Amino acid sequence: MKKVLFGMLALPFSLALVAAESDWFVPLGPPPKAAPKSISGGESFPPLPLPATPLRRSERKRQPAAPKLIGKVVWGESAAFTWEGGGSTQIADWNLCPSDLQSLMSKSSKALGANYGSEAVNLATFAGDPSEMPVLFISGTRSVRLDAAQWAGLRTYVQRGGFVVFDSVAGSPYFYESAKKAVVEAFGGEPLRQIPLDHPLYHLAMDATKVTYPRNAPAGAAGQQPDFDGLYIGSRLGVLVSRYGLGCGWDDREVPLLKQAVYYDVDSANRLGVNIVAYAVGWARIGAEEAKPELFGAQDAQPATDEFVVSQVVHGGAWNAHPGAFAALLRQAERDLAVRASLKRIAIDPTKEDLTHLRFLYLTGIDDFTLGEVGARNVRRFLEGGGTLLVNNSLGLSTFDAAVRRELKAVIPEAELRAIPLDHPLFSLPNAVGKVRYTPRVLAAQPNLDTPVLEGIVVSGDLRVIYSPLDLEAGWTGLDYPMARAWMGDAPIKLGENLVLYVATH
Amino acid sequence: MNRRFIVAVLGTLGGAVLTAAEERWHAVADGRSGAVGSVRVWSALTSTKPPLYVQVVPEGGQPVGAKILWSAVGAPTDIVFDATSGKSVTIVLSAEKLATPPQAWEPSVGLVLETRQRAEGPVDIWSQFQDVWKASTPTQGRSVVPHVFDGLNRHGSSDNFVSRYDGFLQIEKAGIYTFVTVSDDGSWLFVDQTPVCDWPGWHGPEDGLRGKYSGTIALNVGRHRFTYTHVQGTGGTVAEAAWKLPGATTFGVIPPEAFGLVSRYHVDRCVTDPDAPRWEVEGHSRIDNVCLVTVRLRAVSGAAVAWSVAPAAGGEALTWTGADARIVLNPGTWMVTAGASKRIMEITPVWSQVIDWDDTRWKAQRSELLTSSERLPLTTLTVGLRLAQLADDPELTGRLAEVLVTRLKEKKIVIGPSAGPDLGWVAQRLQQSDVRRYQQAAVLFTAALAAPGLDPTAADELRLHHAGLVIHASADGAQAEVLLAKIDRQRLSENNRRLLALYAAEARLALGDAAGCRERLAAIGEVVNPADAGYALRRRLRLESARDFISRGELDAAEQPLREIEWETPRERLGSETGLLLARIWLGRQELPFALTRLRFLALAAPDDPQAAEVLLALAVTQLAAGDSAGAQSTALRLKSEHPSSEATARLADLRFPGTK
Repeated sequence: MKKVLFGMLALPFSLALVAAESDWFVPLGPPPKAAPKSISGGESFPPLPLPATPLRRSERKRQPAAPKLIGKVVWGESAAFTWEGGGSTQIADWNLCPSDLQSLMSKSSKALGANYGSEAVNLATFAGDPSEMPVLFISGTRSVRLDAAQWAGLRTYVQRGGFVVFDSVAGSPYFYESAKKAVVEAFGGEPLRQIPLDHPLYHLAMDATKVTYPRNAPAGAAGQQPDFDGLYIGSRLGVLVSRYGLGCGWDDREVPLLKQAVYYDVDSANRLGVNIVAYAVGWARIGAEEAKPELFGAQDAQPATDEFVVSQVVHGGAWNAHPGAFAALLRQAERDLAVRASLKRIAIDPTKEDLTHLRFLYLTGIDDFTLGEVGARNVRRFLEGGGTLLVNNSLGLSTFDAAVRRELKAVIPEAELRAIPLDHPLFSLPNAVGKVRYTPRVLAAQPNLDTPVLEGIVVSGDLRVIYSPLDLEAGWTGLDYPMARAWMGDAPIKLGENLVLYVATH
Repeated sequence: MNRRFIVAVLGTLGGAVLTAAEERWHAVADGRSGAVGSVRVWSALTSTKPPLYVQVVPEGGQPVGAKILWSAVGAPTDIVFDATSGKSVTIVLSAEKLATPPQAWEPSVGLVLETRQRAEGPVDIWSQFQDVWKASTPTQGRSVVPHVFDGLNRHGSSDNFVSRYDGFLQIEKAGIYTFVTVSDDGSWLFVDQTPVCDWPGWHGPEDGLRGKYSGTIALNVGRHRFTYTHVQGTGGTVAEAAWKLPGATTFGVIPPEAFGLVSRYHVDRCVTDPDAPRWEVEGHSRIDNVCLVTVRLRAVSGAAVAWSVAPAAGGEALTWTGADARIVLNPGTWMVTAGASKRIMEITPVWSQVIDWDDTRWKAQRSELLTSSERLPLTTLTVGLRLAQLADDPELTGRLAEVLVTRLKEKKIVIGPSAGPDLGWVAQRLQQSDVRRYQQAAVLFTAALAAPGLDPTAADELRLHHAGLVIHASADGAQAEVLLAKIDRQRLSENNRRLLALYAAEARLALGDAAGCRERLAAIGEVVNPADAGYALRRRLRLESARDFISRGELDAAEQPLREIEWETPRERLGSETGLLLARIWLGRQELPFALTRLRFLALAAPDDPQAAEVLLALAVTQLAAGDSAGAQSTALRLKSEHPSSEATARLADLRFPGTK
C-alpha cells in the first residue's frame, strides 16, 4: 500500500516503538495534485508590447511585518512516503500538516483584528525568550522525542512566560501520552490538569465548549467537548496539550488516510485555534509579570514591628495562582495603613504541618483540590484557635468553587458559607467599599451586580472564613486577566487592605 | 513696428496684464520636412480667453492653411499649418478677426489626440461611448502624437478621461489589413469611418495582447481616414492600435511613418514683443499628488532681461536678471514678467512624465527650494514642506520651517486670505515625531490664528490643536484653558468635541488639579460597553501589539493601538499601562517633552497605581535623557522613598547620573 523510507534519524529510539507507531507516520492530507499542463494555443505570434505607464510614487507607510507569535518546533525524523498510484511525498514528524499555523494565523488575524506570523523553530538555536516568540507549537503523531537539554530549555521558557502547545494532530495516543509524560517529568512532577469548560481558554474570542469530531468521537458527553490538558504557571496556562487533532482543521481539511484518527472538524478546530491565539496574546503580559521573582525591600532585613506573614496553603490543585499579588497588596497596605508586613509568603502544607501557631491562612486555586482528612483537621484546629482563613477563587471558575464548598464542608461540617452582609466592618474599615466593578464576564451573567460579593463562615462568633467566589487577587496585581470572573477597579485593593487590617486586629 | 497695447483686467486672476491685439512671431523648421508643420508660441493673448485667429505666411509667399490646435488661459498655444513650402514662416496671432480670413484647412498627415475629462455613463456599445464623449468636459488638450500607443493621458490626470486620435493612414500596398486594439478600458477603431474592431466596456489590456480584438478591412493605396477612440476609468490606462499588413504573420503597433511626418518648427523671435518669454515645464517631483515642478524660463529672443515670477493671486515675487533660469514652483497660476512683457503662466505637472519621482531631479529641486526659500511665496513653501514630509526629509522640513518662522517674525511674508490653513498645517507638522520643533509650531499656530479671513470653524480647530501642543509639550494648563475657552463647541465635529473634553481634562491636570481631571475624564464617557466581555481581550491584543512594535522599534505602529485605547476609554489617560508604553515611544522618538509631561501627569494623578514605581523610574530616565540631572535625582529619591521594595527601585541602580560613579 505504501512505503515509508526514512531519511534522517534525528535520535535513537526503540525499534519496537517504531513498529507500534509507524502506522501513524503518514501524510495527513491527500496526494498533491499534478500541476496543470500548460495549454498551447493557436496564437503563434508574440504578444503585443504594452506602452509605458506612469510609475507613481505614493507615500504608503511601510506596514511593519506581523509579529512572530508561534514557532513550530522542528523535531523527529523525515521520510519519503510513496503513494499507491506512484509519486512520493516528503513527510516529517514535526510538520505532518505543513499549513496548519499559516492558516491559523490568517484566520486569527481576521477574527481578532491583529496580524501575527509563525515560523519554524529549531530548539538547538532557540533563544527561549517569550517576548520574541510567545508560543511554541509542537505537533505530531508519534512519540515526541526531545533530548533532556531541550526539555530543560522548554521548562525555562515556560517559567519565563512562554506558552507551549502540543497538538496530537491526528489524535494519536503515542504523541499525546508521550507529551504528557515528558511535560510532567520536565516540570518536576507537577501534574497536567484537565482544562474546565468555563476556563477563559474556551471563551476568549468565541465560545468553543461544544465541538464536533468527524470520526472516532470519544464516547458520551466527551464526544462533544474539547479535551485539553494544561500545566498552570501561576494563574496562566504554560503548557497546553490537545489530545485530539487541531492542525488539519486549521488547514480546512480532514485526515483521510488514518482511519483511526481523532480530530476536530474545521469549525471546531478554528474556534479552538483562534482562542488559543487569543489566549497566548491576551495572557502574555500575565506570563511575563508573574514570572518575575518577588522582590524584597531593605526593610525586610529589619524585624517587622507589626509583622503580617502570609501563610499560603499548598494543596493538591494549582495552589500558587497569583504569585506576587499578595505582596503587591501588602506593599500598598504598608503605605496606606502603616502596617509593617513581611512580604515573604510561607507555603504551608496542612496535611504535613501544624497550623495552630498561625494567625492567617490564605488559600487560592483554579481547579479541583483536596485537603484530605489530615489537612481538613488541621485547618479546623487553626480556625478554632482563632485563625482567619481567606479563600480566593482565582479566575472565578466553577470547578474551584465546587471544590472550596466541598472542602470547607469537610473542615466545618456544621457550618455553611453565607454571604457576608454589606454592613460588616470588612466593607467599611478603614476603606469604604460601596459600589464595585466586576469584569464583563461577571456582568454578562449578572448585569446589575455592583456590590461586593464575599461569603464567610462564622466560628465561635467570629468571622474566620472569608471566601471570594470572584477573583479578588487579580485586582491587586494591576494586570488584566481577560475573560476571568474577577473584581475590577480600586475595590480589590481597598477590600484587601480591609482584610489585612481585619486579620491583623483579630 | 505696429504695436497696439491694451490692458485687460483679469478679475479672477487679480492682476493686470498688458496684451496686444495682434502678435507676430517668426519660426523656422527644426529639420525634418513634412507636409504639416507644428509650432508653439507663448502668447499674451491667452491671458484672457478670447477666440484667437491665426495666419501663417511662409517667407516670401502667400498665407497657407493653418489651425490653432490648442489654446488655453496661461498655456502656450499650439498651431499646425501647411508646411509643404519648407520655408520659415511668420505667424500672425490676433484677438480680432483678421482682415483676410484664412481658408478652412485641416492637416492631411499626422495624428491629433484630443482628451476630455470623462463624463459618467456606460460604454458597452459605440452609441453609449458617443454619448459619453459628447457629455465629457472640459477638453484637456489637443496635440500631435506619433502613434496610438499611450499608457497615460498626455493632457491631464490618467484617470477618468476619454480620448480620440484622428489622422490619416498612408497606405502604400493594397490588400487586406487586420487592425487590433489593446486597451484599458474600452476602445473603438475606425478606418474611413468604417468600424473595424472594438473592445468596449471596462477591462484591463492583458486579454487583448495576442490580437483577440481585431477586424479586417481591404484598403487601397492612398490616404485613409483613421480614428481611434478610448475611454479610461481608474487604474492603469492603455490605448494601443496595432495592425497586420497584408501577407504578414505578426501584429505590430502602427508606426508613426504610417500616419505621415509632421515637421516641428521653433520660434526664434516675437516681432511685436521682443521680450516675450517662453517657458517649459521640464519635470516634476510628485508624491500622492503633492507636486513641485521645475520650470525653465527664457526670453524667445535669448537676450538677458529682468524677470519676475509671482503668484497670480498675489504674494512674493522671485526676481532675477538673465537670459534664462530654472525655478521650482508649485502647480498653479503665476504671473511672469520678462522685461516689458507679461504673461499668465499656468503650471501643471508634466502629465506625460512616466516616472513621478527621480532622485536626481529632486536633489536639484530641493537645492533650488532652499536657495530661494527666503523669497518663495507661502504656497510654494507649504507645498515644499508637504513634499518634504512625504519624501521623509525632516531636515528639509526643519530648514524650510526655520525660514518661514523667521520671515513671519520679521514680517517678510505675505499672509493672504488662504494662509491660515497652510500655517496651521505647518504648525501641526512641526509637532510630529521626526521634526519636533514645538516652539516654532507655537509661533505658527499664533500666526495662523491671526491670518485674515480664517474660517471660524478652522480657527477653532487650530485653537484645539494649539491647546494640545501647550498641554503636552509644555504642560501649560493656563494657556491651554485660555485657548479652549475661545472655542465654540458647537462648531466642532463630534470627534473634535471629544478631543476638546479630553484636553480640558488634561489642562486641569497640568494645573495640578488631579481630581478635576479625573472627574472630567469620567464625564466624557467610554465608547465601550462595560458588559462587552471581548473588550478586555481586544484591549490586551492592542497592548501586546504595541509592546511588540516597541520592541522592534516600530514606534509609529505601536502608538496607534495605544491612542485607540485612550480614545475609547479616557480614564486610561491616567493609567500606567498605556502611559508607560507611550512614554517609551516618545522617549524612543526623542519627543522628550511629551514623555516628561505624561509621566509627570501619571506621577501626580495616580500615585497608588500598581505601576507607580515604574512611572517614577521612567520619569527619572526621561529626565536624564532631557539633560535634567537634578530632576532625575530628585525623582530617584522619591522612588526609593515611596517604593523601597519595588523592582523599579532595584533597577534604579542601572541608571548613571552625571557626576556619580
